[in-house]
Amino acid sequence: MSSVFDHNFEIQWCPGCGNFGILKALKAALDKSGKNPSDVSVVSGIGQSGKTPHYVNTNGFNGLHGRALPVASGLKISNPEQLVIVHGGDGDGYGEGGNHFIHGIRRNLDLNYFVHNNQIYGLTKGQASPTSSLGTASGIQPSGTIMEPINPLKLAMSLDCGFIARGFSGEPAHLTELMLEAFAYKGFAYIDILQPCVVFNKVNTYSWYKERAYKLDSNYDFSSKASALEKMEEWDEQIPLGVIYKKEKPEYFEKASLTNPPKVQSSDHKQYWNEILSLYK
Amino acid sequence: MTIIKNILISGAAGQGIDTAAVIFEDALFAAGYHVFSNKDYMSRVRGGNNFVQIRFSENELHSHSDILDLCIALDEEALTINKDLSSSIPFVADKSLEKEHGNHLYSEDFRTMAKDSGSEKAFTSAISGYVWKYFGLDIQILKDTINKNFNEKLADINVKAAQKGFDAGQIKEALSPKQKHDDHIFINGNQALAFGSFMAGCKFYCAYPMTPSTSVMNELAKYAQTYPIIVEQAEDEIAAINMAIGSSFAGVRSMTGTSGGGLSLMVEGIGLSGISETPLVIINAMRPGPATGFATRTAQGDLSFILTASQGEFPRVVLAPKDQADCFRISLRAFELADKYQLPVFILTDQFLADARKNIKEFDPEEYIVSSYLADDLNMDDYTYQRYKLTENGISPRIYPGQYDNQVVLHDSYEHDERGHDTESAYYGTAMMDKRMKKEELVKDDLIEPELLGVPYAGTMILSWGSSYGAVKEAIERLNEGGFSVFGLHFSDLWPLPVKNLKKFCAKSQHLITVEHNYTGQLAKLVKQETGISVTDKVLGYDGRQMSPETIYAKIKEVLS
Repeated sequence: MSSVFDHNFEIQWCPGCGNFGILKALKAALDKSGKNPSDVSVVSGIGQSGKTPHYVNTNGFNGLHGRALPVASGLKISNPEQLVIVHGGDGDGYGEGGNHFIHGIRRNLDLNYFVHNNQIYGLTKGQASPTSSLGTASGIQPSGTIMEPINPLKLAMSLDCGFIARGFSGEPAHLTELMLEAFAYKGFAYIDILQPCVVFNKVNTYSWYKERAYKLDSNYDFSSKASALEKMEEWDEQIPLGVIYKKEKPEYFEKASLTNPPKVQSSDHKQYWNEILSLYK
Repeated sequence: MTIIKNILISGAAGQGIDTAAVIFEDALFAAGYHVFSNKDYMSRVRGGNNFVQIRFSENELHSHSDILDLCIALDEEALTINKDLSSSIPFVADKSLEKEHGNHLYSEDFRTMAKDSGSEKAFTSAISGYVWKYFGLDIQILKDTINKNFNEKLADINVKAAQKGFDAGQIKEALSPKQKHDDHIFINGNQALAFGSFMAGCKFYCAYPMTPSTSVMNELAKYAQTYPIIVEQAEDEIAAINMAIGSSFAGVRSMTGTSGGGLSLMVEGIGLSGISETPLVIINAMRPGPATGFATRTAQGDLSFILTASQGEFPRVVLAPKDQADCFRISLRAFELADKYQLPVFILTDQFLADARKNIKEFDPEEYIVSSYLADDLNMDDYTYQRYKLTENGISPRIYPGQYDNQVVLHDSYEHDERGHDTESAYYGTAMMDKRMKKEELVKDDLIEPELLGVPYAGTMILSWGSSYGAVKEAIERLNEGGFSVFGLHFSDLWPLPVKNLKKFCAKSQHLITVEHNYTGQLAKLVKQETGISVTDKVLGYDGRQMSPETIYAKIKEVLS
């Protein structure tokens, strides 16, 4: 099925890469959103996730490693009409750009932050990432990494992020629904997307995830912090997919309550000339 | 004989020295004097010794000066620290501080006057009133200024204290009343940068607080209460520059500001603005480095760094305002150049200029043109827009997301093709570099040659740049009065370096001296690199203090003798 969001540019991901499922889900979600491509911006950093803006027909900004969130934040503040989707990775977003993840949640702009989490560095060929399991071996960590993995969902929870979800690239239809829910959420909507790296991660494979992943059903209460924290702890035996925690919070512009918000369209500040001049009289 | 007076107010942080100085300066301005004040402060919230120098005259002033007429000491340390001042300079201090002192000390019970007026904190107003009387000025002007600067309750207390101080004083040097310059404003460098930037249409300022750039942010945040601009405090400087880039991508004139340490963190972002051709204005308010350096002091040590900051090669513009009015003009120009050529533009200021206050003639809004450089007449098939279209002059039509409902725009930090897609192509590697670097040639047409100070072709030529303008100008005047033949070229636009005047005047110059606030003579190095012209001597200051006209005069004289 063709989509207005299709874009004919050669995809550079490895055959079988988990990113294909994410791209498929993204395009389906954009189709269902009813948005026009010019009203959507996809922002990324560096890593395999960073290539996403090149593969969809939307506005895009492929910036620096780890710095997708700040670019997206500036964009959203100055052009709030855009649907802004940020694609990061576990190295990009939890390592290099970890500070922006923390403060992006605090700022609570109406952003969608989708992290392609494959627990490994793909682009630099297989080093341990912040989410790699303890003991993951690589060329740099031949005896296995001695760094303990972060639990990004719990990190987000500790900052009271209002929308925390987990998706799986092997379940693109389910992921599409999560993305649509994120678009609809007013505030910082965060989805950690599990994504097998078929080349460098020989442990967390499609079948490894398939054996463990299960979808949270309608009985699950995503408003309960206690249940959310319990679900966020699940990993070795089973891994929950879905919206794990959600609550309404005032987003950036509600909090800022600007008396005279700027508009993108050019406006002449000279009309304020005399008023500002009088400050220095 | 022109009357020039220079008052030093010295005291500890937290004593209200800034407020006292601002009121005194404002009152002098209201009394019709031209005023130039500069600040010297330590990196602490309480204690230490800070001072403000307030120089005023019936003629326009361009610089601070070491020649003092009066010293106001707010605490004992201020008396001790300034004890080396010439014995002809009288001191004013509270009675409680009275002690052996080589200079004449005027002391009154200012603290009791303040207490009797309602608060001991108002003792600086009592001193102001006393000094106001010293110069035989009209107390009503001081009172009006106090009323303008405080809320009603505090104004009442301070007005009373000022009156008591005034009544206790004696006229020592009666100054004649002047007419207030109604067409002047009274502004410091960072306020002028904020004003100019807002008038240029800046709608987004994003920064992490860092002295001495923070007051730009404070000023713009004040505007944001009423006017259409958003000021965002970022989690770090890396976020600050990337947010400003994101905002510029969104189609809004955007700026970030910091000092050297923060700029070091922003460096990769500078390159991002360069390769993605996202317009950006960056203020770097210099202080001595490296690392934390002298946190609250002044320097011109970042020029060489700015010229090549970030890996690779890309076009950039570097502008260093020479004074408060130039801060205003340059911030307007910075936004125009950034937008017109789609590149990063630096405004290189420093602590001295950031904090120095001066009255300047009002700007005429008609003199300043603010243009839109966005492509508003695209007529293309759906989704065929190319952000990096190769054009003859290297400038591609720029649009922002959502500007056209049938086009999308892609910015890329990788080397890219015309649409903005990553590429490994050798063809695009060359074509895109050529395209970007063409802009650096093109921008030269919009840059301004250095200002000529004095009469050219005299024996010795002085090179200087940025905030030292006033002091250098005054030093050159004094040297010529003293029988030396000296003229100067003062640079505000630094990169690409305008070389016409240099080549024109330097050929016949016998002797070339650079005057800079750094260790290596960074302008001299740049001039050598761009023209092959070598300086003969260097007059350098790197103690974190702005060289006065007297210091520059003496150092040049020493070189020439």
